Amino acid sequence: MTSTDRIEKEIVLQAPKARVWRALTNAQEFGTWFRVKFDDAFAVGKSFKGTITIPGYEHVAMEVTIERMDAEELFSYRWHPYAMDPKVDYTREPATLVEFRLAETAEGTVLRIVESGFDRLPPGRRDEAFRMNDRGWSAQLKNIERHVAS
Amino acid sequence: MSRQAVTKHLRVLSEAGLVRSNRRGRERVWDLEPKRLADAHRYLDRISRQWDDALHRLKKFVEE
Repeated sequence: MTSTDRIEKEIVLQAPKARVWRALTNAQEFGTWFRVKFDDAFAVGKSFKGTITIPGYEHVAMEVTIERMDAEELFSYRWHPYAMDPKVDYTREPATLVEFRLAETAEGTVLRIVESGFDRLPPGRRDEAFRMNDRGWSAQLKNIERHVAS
Repeated sequence: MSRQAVTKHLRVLSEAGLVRSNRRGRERVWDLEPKRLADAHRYLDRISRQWDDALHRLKKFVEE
């Protein structure tokens, strides 16, 4: 049985570790590929509110609390996944932890991502994510289309 | 794992709706909630695909 609590990803990037580190920890650069706009620079122990830049979702806020920034090794933050309903106060709910780990190899920079803590989310949250997500996905697909076509 | 630890784990799973418990006399019997479990996997699949897309964009971003 696979875990219902965590997601793990691994990708090899043809770029130096320093370049990947900047793309993760520089708030502007992070926002470019994650599709969110932050006004301030990330700092450990602080929370940052950003605005989603996916068309149709500009009214949605996303908040991350930076946990660790160990230079070119580990970047991590907590957040509320799919916290997309402006009417719901997610702040009292448990957050998931997202960890980015970097390693330099002969093939390039290996980036490992673990998002964990899903089992602690309230039961209704998962159903809601499906509802919100159906609309989210069509927006995402348009995004990708535009990205590939440009 | 201690008995208390098991109970704690089960309680977390129960709050997530993944298991359900019933009292039978002096015992508490735990059952899996298969639908909840399927939903949980489906939920993770979605988030997983979102990560795939985000990572695809990250890859293009750092490699260009």
